[in-house]
Amino acid sequence: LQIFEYNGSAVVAMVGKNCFAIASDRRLGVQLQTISTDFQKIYTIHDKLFIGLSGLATDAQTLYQRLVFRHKLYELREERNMKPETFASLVSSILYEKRFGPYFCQPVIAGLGDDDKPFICTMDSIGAKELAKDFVVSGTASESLYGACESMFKPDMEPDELFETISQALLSSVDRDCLSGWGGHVYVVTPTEVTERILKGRMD
Amino acid sequence: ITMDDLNAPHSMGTTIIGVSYDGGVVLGADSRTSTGVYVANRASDKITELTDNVYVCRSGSAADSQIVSDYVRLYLHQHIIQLGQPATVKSAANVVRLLSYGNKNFLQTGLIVGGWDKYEGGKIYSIPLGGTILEQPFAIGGSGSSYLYGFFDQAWKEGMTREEAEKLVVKAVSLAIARDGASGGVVRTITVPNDRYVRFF
Repeated sequence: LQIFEYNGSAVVAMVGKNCFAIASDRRLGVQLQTISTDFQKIYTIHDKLFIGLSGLATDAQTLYQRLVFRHKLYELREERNMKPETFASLVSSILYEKRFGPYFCQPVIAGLGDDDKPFICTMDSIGAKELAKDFVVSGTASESLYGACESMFKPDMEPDELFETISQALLSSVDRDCLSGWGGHVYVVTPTEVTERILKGRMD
Repeated sequence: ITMDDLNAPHSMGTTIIGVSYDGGVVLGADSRTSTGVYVANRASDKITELTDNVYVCRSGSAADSQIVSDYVRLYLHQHIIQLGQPATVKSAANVVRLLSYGNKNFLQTGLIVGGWDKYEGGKIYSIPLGGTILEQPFAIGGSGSSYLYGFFDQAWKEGMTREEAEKLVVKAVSLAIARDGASGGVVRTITVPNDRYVRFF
């Protein structure tokens, strides 16, 4: 039993010109059996900060609940939203707290920071942060995602082109993974609006 | 996925089906071959020809099922040369069974043999792990078949026409592909209406 391959997931985030996109698949399975085909893996922390959680679904949900709790407290005390960089450090520290009994999740964090500069990062299940300027990936389909993003990505894409690119990268990668798929969930975030779209993919 | 997975033996977590109708048989399968959770081939062909009039659906270990099919093809062709007429589905299935049963400790493959001969018409033989041989009006196998037992209980009936049988097979494989992570890709079917010619879809 591979704990990271119990539920199955694929999450990816990409940076564009003054915008970012974050996408995930929609499958929830118990090993090979598909249980749900509209399972949410990307959560909103605030309107310019998103977190996608791949890995064990129960840990992803619990971790999300803890993070929302911490962010709400922060908002009450600081009277402002958290910056993405700060949030990433918070996630990292919460994960490392459980160093010897970790949450089996690999988060992907994407947000617009100061001056609406796009920020993305990923980390492993014990909080090792990986910052990137172009794209980050996570989940059972991560290796396919690396390949797809590396070849399809180019810098400074406008929101519409970014949407196309991240969608194609996601769909082609999950098609090579037994445990992820059943369509996609894509958020494209600019300083002024958030566009949420559902992709129709192979249902196998 | 890890390096272990990429070098793991290819397995065809699969859905395979054989349904006999009035005048022949329809065989169906998905097209996904996986190594661990990576999809090694998304357009594989799991329905293999043994003779002009007998086909086999393969599931389980890709290597094991391929080698068994190859040996069966060899032995059947030799048998046909001696016999002087097309092989019966029963003899083809029994050759498969002899190999599966005789090498049961080494093999991990479940097979469904289906075809048409002039003595018995359309017949389906199921040969699961271990080498049991079972003649059935319809057979399902592979990891995706778990999701189809209830469906077949409800949807299968005796004396179907060719069109009904083909539709049933396609629908069933599609349903299993939807639920089973180890099945996917396209639905391949083969209809064997008699020993003269065979149709591919």
